[in-house]
Parts: sequence; structure tokens; C-alpha cells
Amino acid sequence: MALMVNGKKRKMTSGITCAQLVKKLSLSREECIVKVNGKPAADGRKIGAKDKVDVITIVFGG
Amino acid sequence: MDGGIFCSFCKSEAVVTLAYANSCMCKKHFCEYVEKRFRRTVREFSMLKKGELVGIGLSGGKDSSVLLHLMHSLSKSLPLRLVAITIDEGIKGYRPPTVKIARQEAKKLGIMHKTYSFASVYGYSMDSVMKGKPQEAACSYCGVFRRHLLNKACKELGVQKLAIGHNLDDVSQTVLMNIMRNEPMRLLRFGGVAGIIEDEGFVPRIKPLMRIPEREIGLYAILKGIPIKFQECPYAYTAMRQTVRAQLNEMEEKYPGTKFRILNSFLEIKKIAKPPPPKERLKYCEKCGEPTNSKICACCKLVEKLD
Ligand SMILES: [Zn+2]
Ligand SMILES: [Zn+2]
Repeated sequence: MALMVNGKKRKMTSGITCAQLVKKLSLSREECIVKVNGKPAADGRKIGAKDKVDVITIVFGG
Repeated sequence: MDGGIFCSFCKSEAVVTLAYANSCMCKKHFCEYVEKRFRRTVREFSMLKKGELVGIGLSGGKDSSVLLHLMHSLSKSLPLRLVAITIDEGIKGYRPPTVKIARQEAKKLGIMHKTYSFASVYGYSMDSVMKGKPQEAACSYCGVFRRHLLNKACKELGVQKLAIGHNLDDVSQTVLMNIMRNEPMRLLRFGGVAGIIEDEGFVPRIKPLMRIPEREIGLYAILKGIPIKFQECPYAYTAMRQTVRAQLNEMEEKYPGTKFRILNSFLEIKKIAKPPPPKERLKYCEKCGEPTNSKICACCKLVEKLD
């Protein structure tokens, strides 16, 4: 997968779900949103080798 | 579609998993769900009356921007007059972009928009207040000025209710923090409406987003194309709240629905436990006329100290 975390490139092997990805990045699922190919995705969404993934932390600011 | 997950209510692709509700939702069903909870909260606490002039505290961050959009759509079925109020604390690099978003969003929806700045009202921006001061002083200075200015602005504008964007994460953290600090009376004054002592000098505050988790507000904003800046205030120093937030999020992951249960427990307790009446009648500040416990209000005292 092509992975970006808060705008920064990261490396991760595909074949995992969005929820597993968040865990592997040591983030809280309560604090971020995972987009797969530009669209927000459910926790169980499997990430394939060709997917473009963005993880965005959303907890700051009011 | 490979690896996709479907909405629990239709055949569309899911955009979110709501562990506490044991379901996945597509964009349409998720957005309806958020809107429904917002409306239900407004009804549950009788937050608004037909024809009222309602102020919306609009920082331009995700919570208040989503609140602005939801209030605007509510005003189509419940006739309300809306005015968005932005407080510019004067924090270089952090506030100007969100003030710009606030102005744009209000304009887009045809909502009157007013900006008040610390610098023009008190003569000090947060940046100038903070020169040479320890970081941990920031939130208390900023909080005193902001509450004072919002209340003053509301009265100037004739606003009858002030809606603020506090979400489920904020309120469940506040409930826990009040317990941890042994401030039960303060806790009992907290809630969906008011929050501050009832007095004609205080414009009642309402929290229509209190039943929506922070993450869902962020997601709603993304799905609805509401522009958001995910950025933290450079002065943010709220050690206890950060810790409570992190712990609470960990609990929520392990035991989904924890945040809702904290809020609901508190609301049940509040129904049967009435806070005692304030010991003294509120006075009005000799300098600015705002309600206070002493001769001079906390805000005017701060300004005196700075002068
Ligand atoms: Zn659906
Ligand atoms: Zn005063």
C-alpha cells in the first residue's frame, strides 16, 4: 500500500485491515480516521497492495 | 470492490464502524445518524425555542464548523435567527486560518458573522499576554478572556442562547475531571444547558453536540466537505485533560460505549441531585458590568495585572 500518516510517508505491508493498521501505528482508533483511496473506511476494510491509504489524526482543536 | 465492508442498513460501502452500536454505516446512514442525534439532544434538553436569536461560538475548528452546518439545517424546520461569533485570541499562525474558515463558512450559509478580538477589546492578544509567562498559564488566561468576551458579545447582539461545539469526548472528560478534582457542585452545574449559574447577566449556553463523539464529528466534516484544519493550539497545556482523554480513549476501545455511559450516568444523577443555591447573590463588576462573585470580575482583574 501507499501509506501517508498525517501527510508524512510511512511504510507498512498490505493484507491487514484498517483497524490493524491503526494498532500497528500505535494510534488510537478514537483519535484518527483512515481513508482508503480517498474514502473513509470501516475498521474491517482489508487493505490491498494497490490501495492508497491516508491516516488522519483528528483530536485537536475545537 | 476488494476487501470492502457493507453498511448494516443498506447495500452500500461502509465508511465507518461504530463499535458501541455494533454496526457499520455508509455515508448516507452515518450522516443521518449524526443529524438525528443532534436534533434529539436539542429536543431532550429543550435547548431552543422558535424564533430565538441563537449565537454560535464559531472558532472555525471542526466541532464548531459542524455545529454551524447542523444549526443552519435545523433552522429550516425550526425557525431560528442565527449569528456566528468568532473570538480571535491573537495567536499567530494558529488562529488566522480558522478565522478565515469561520468567515467563509458563515458566508456560504448566509449566516451573519461577527469577530471579536482580545487585542481590540482588552488591548492584549494572547501572544502578548504570554510573553515571558510559563506555558501552563495560557489556558486559564485565555479561558477567562474568552468566556467574558463571548458573554459580552452575546448581550451586545441580543443573543438569547449561545450554542457551543462541545462534543461527547469533551463532556465525558469534564465529568470525570470534576470527580477527580472533587468538585461535585461544579459538576452539578454542568450539563446540556447553561453550565454557569443562572442569572440574567449570563447568556445560557447549550451543547447540542454533547452526544456525538469527537471522531464522528471529524468524519462528518470530511464526508460533508466542511473544511477543517487539524491543528493544535501552540499554547495547549492541559496536562490533566490530555491524560484523561488518552485513558478514556483506551477504555472506549476496550469497552465500546464507555463515553456514552459516563455522560448518561451523570445525567441520571443530575436529575435527582439539585445543586444548592449559590451562597451569595451575584454582583456585577464595577468596571465592566459583567456578573461576578466579587467587586471586580476575573477578566478585569487580569487586565489590571497586565496594564
Ligand atoms: Zn447505508
Ligand atoms: Zn469586569
